[in-house]
Amino acid sequence: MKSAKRTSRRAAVIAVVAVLGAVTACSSSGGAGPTGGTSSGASNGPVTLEFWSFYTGSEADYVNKWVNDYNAAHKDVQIHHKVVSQTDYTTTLIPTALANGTAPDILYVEPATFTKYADAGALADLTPYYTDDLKKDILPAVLKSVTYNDKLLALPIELETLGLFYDKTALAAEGVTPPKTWDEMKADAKKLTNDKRFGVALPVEDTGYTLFNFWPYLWMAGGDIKKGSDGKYSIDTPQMAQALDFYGSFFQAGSSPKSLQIGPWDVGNVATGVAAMQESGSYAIKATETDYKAASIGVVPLPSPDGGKGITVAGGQKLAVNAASKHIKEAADFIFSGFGSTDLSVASGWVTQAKFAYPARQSVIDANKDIFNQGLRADFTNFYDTARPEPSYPAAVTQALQTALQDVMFGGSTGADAAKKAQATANAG
Amino acid sequence: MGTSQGNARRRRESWAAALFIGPDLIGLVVFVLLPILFAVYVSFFGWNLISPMKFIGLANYRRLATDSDWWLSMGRTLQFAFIYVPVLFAISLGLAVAFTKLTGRTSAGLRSAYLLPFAVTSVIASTLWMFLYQEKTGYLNAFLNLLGIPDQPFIGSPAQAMVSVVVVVLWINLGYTSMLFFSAIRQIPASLLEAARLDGANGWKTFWGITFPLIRPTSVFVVVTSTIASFQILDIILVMTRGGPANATQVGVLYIYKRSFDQLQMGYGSALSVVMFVILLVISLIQLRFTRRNNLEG
Repeated sequence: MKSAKRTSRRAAVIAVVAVLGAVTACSSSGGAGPTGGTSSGASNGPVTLEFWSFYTGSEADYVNKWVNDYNAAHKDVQIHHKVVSQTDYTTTLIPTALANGTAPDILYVEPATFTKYADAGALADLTPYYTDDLKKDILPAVLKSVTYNDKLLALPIELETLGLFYDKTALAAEGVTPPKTWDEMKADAKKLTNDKRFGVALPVEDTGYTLFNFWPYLWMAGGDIKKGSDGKYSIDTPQMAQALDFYGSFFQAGSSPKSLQIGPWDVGNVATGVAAMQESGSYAIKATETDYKAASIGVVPLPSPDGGKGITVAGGQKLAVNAASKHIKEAADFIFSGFGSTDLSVASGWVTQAKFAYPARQSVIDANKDIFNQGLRADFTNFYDTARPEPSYPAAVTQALQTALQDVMFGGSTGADAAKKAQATANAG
Repeated sequence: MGTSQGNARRRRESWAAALFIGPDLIGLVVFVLLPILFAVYVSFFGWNLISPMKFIGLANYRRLATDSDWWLSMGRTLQFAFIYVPVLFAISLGLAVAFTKLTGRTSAGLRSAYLLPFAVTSVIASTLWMFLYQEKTGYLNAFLNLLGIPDQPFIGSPAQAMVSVVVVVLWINLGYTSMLFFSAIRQIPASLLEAARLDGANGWKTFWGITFPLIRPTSVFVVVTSTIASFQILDIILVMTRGGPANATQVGVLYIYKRSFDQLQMGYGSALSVVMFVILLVISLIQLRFTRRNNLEG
């Protein structure tokens, strides 16, 4: 009896271990090594490179076409393209994949993630793949934004700039002309606010996107953030305080919505009447011609303190190669064939067909002059030369600034107090 | 012969039990136990997820002791729990009692209606409520306007954001929790309630004297699980406020998430997780001990 019990217990244990073993075997056969990228390629078969993107709609279709065309023309290298959620991409997905060795060979980076990954040594050096002509073709400030310790770690593919979108009908009804100065913007926003609508929609959340929308105001106030010789970042300046006060004033006056139902980048905030004006980017133009065709939407440069020539910010994605990839050369060949080659078809199509953005290269701008002068694109083209690339700072600095923005929007802080607090937190070590 | 048949049957049963328990056990080890142990291990390292880990001993724990933002976020977690748990408990118990008083289709219909939000994913529920909460264009403000109350910012106000989030979590979970209480109340023998009535006890007295003590195990379950859920709240806040405005809804788990993934401080994030795990364990043990003692005394 006892022995039978022992036998059945042993059988149960064996069964559990067997299932565990099976599961482990299944998972290990599909996994990748602990340090390498996910590419593979037998000695006599084609090299397969993993490429992850997060695009949807026409942008996703365009990337797919690019990959398919490349695969058809290259029998020795095949790109395996996978689409994932954008939120996951920029937060948890890529860092965890880099940690467990399953990150793609080719990935997108933006200013916030560029510094994080570059600091960690996760991006391959692409300097050898840049020709001198290509370096000259890329706008100098943009080239600087992908430079890390004198090495070029990514290839910029687009520039997305910000402007002030407005509802032409709403402004005309109130007898308001689009603002040119900060004072005008505050007064107009107040005048355009009524029971059913806000004056101006600005990003509100504690995110990098809100900070991206804030940079032009800091620069227009004459401020910037520099790293001193003592290693500390200069945040607590009168210019920072002035810009913070300006941004916060719309929320304190009740002229801006304190929460947004749709994304702050979605020009639907103006098109559907949430607000009469909205800060958004060149990426919103396509929606004004399709989803919100019925609305009458215009765009002007972001107002400056005194009505002079303003400054806007240029963000946008860059392509990079995983430093742990076993096929860095092949991966670099793929991205440079599309966006770094003298054949401009892929680079042009991306900023004119897949979406609307400005290219990072002068030659692509020259080749598509007509397109950049159509509709709202013409307005953006007019102030294109006022764009500064989105800066890249350590996470502690950006988080401190995001908190400062929250403090002036919702915490009742003055710009000076918020800047002082941010200076302390960002440099706390 | 009989014994050998019995042994064979027991062996078969053991195999069957192992096969049923096996997958769950594996899931528990792979997805719960190992990650917990790994988090404890990582908490002793400086690690940005990408570069190699660097052993730093107890530095992460020393740092969190003086991290005022962390303790503020834990304070907000407590704030959430102190509002959510008692309100959930009281309203769902009240609903359950009401369900038992109703009969037939009305009761079944109402129970289904209350349970419906539980079937909605939290992201959808959050988005839905964001529409309702919208200032100037939201239905809730339109309703308040009808009553002569001006527009409220709800999730756009540091003072109202936490309560607004709690309302959404309550909306999702009230139906399910009231079903737990409903089932517990239905299991009370009718003879006990009948005897109380014969002894002249009114509805209120019967509830406190018989119903409430007899559903204590369910009450404990609800308090413990909803407290744990309060400490783990993340998805709804991430969708609705991302911790804002001005950090008013930045609860502990969100702070851990931001440290770990926004700032790639996985070692520090793991140390914070370990501390939260210990806090939760202590709270749960205290709650269980307190109830067991009450049960023994009762």
